Amino acid sequence: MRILIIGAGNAGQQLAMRLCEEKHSVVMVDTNSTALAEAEAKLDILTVCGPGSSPRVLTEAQVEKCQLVIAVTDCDEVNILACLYAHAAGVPRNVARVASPEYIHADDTYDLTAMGIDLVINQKQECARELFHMLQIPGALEAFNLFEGKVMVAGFRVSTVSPVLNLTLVECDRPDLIQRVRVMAIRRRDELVVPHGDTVFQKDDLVYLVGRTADVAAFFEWVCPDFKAFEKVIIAGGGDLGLMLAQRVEESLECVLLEQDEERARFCSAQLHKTLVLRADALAESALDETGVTDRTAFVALTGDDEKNTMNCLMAQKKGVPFTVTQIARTDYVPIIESLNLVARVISPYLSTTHAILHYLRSQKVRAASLLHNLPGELLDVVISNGSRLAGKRIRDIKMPRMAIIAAVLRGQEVQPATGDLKLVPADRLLIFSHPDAVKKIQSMFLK
Amino acid sequence: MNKRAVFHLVAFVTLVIGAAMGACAALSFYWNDPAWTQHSLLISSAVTMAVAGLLLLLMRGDINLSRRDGFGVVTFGWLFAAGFGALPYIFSGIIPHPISAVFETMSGFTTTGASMLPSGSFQTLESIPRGIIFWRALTHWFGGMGVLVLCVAILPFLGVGGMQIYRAEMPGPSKDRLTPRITTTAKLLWGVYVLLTLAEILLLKFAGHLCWFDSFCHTFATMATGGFSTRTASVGAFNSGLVDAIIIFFMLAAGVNFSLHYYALTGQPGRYFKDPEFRFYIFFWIGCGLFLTFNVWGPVYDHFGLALRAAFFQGTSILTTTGFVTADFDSWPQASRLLLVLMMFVGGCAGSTGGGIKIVRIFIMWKKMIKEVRQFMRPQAVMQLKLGRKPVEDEAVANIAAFFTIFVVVFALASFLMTFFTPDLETAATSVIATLGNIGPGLAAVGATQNYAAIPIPGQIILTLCMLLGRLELYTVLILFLPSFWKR
Repeated sequence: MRILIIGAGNAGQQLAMRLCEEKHSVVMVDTNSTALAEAEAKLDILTVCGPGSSPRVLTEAQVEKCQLVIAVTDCDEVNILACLYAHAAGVPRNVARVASPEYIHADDTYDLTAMGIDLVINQKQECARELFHMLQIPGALEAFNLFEGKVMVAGFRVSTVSPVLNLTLVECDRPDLIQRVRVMAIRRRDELVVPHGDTVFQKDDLVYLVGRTADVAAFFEWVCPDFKAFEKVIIAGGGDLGLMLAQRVEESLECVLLEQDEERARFCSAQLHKTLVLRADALAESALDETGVTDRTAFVALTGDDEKNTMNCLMAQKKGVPFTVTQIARTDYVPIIESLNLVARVISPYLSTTHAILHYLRSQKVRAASLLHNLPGELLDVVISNGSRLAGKRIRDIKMPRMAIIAAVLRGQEVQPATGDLKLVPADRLLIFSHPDAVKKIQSMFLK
Repeated sequence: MNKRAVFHLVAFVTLVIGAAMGACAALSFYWNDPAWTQHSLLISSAVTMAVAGLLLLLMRGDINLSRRDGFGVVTFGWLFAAGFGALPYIFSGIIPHPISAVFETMSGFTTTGASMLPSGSFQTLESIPRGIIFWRALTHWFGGMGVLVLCVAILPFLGVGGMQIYRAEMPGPSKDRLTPRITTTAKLLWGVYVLLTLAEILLLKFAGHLCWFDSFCHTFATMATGGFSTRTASVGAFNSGLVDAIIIFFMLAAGVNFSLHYYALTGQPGRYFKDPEFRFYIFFWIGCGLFLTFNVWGPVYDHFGLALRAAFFQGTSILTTTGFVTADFDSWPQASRLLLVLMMFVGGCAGSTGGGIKIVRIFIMWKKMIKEVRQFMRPQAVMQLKLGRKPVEDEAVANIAAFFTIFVVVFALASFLMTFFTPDLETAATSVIATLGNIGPGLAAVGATQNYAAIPIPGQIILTLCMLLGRLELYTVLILFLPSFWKR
């Protein structure tokens, strides 16, 4: 497939790298010739220098030959315009990254999807949602909703105080909690383990499980006793992302927002109802004292500056905040910060965007639901069609690839636990976890 | 340098070379060559393939190539190709000395066309068995578009590594990409190359009435801008205006950027004249051709038609760095001789199979020269250097200036060394430019009717190195002489 990527920034380069690995023909457009030269040096791509919203540049990049256009520049207008032009040139699928809520929350007359942009991605919104889930389930490394919020997927790390340490699932003392969720994958160091009944949880295992949202929350409370539910959230940085997060959080938790700029702080305060907005530099010691840190506080650093965010978190830890999250834009930093254990969680907006777009690329029937940050594998969302040869079969009778597992089944509006005895019927929606190598096999199994 | 990855790929190149030798052995049987020819080709092929196979087995592992490794793959690939490609000459005893045999092979792969043959017990090319002569022509053909670009086209697993190789082997300051994926680009370029090759073979056979053997060998030498012929008197042996015309046309085509041919074949012939390099190339070709014509009309040829034919054939042959000969240009007036030597420096277009400095570099340096002189008059003027309508970045200009300088330095140094091994200055200087520019014949003792057999072995080594430097455009080879290249 020939794919045009507009924007050679972080997200563009990440995407190009992944798409090249999948042997797609990638053309990249950007105004910055240095960034393009850098990309061309390490990737097998064609580059065109110029603004992506210019018809001349799009023609030069032979947009009409592309099957997909992905616009991920920093400028919303360029992204939208490029996609509209691409749509006019007959490109079947267009994806635009749009940051401003102005464009997304417009009414039906100005609906971008209706104008031919098939997928509008709001990086900040994706990121705010991810953060919100993380704060809702303390202890979760990452958590997200699927199937319109009916199913939650979450991962945790087995610590020394965890009640499941060195046990199998059957040996645990809370079968009531365990039966309601399904463990779908474990990452043991760099290996992926698909669990069976006799798998023993070891220290530092990354365990991913699926279940109804409430069940997962209850399970986490038991399995991660070292994380207590948060009472208060401090957000450093009142940019779009900080504001979005505050809007979500303030309904359920006490929230404090730190913003340096007077005018912006005023604006945030107008948008928020319960949050305390402080006009202060989060790096100043006095500001942190002002917020009133307790041992059940979470600190989220969301200023636009990676280094500053990390420093913010370290300062907050010094002040006694038990849980800190930092936003990191430079993807190069992520592994270092994680390996040094500087902060509790790292969130990288570009990775979220990349993942969201990659899912979109999968074929129609098998819709990828999500990709996990820390797990080499993906969650696939599959519908059992009417003529499928899998309809009427029990889950235990289906020959799944070795590195894949059916994690949950949505029948009508109800989530069914995917136990071996469950019989599949047409119109069931399955959530399948699969190793990247097995994705193709799964696709062919369920497409027939 | 990632040695494992580099030699894994070099093994593939060797394998391709071995397979091509095998094909020549088969043809040699078909032509009923003497048994020793057949056997030498067969043994060479077997040895080459065995070594390649062994190397492949030993050097298994990841093949991620960095930019640096790309240069390693290309230089070592070429050295291996020249080394193993020399085996048939050595085993058959046609060129018994290994260094001379490597010289002949390097001359083949780099599309130079400087030859050791005929020599020794073979006083004419016609007396040498066909299998060997065909192998000699085939080395041209593989080297023309590049053995490694061929590997990039046919090996599916290269990925980014393919681009590193492509960058190191394709001639010209900027590397065109016809398609986003380099494998596809390499396939298309080789496709165009094969297509033009077929066209010329058929034309030479049916319009020029040559035999299949002559058609194939001359086509390989033309399309690669090589210059090895099957006849001692080169193309002059056919004494046919039509054959000359066909070869002139295809030499000219081989000196053009192959991307332009691709665009023309896909329905955009207009791209030829939109390309500033192509326009300059054509004007330069016509200008030089006409000058040569009027210079030789009278003193050498009485008939204007003959002067025109000889001048354009020789002009094209030298400009495109092919090196075919229909007339002894060494006996032409001094102005013509010098012009031909200067044309050797120029060479073909970027992205063509021609050698030399390349038209586009000369063109940009010419513009830069004018710009600097004008700037001297008006120090405050801002003058952006442009190629057609596109601005050329200062960095690119500086890069070309550096290339120019290195080219001249290498030429001067090698010429100086060659004075020890040649009878006169003319031979020393022109033998270097004829090999560094991948042309073939020079002047005086290495002139149109002579060959390189009289050059002593140390001189042959210098010239062999010049050929490799010229074909891989200096940097790719010179980089290997940097100590830091070998460190991690």
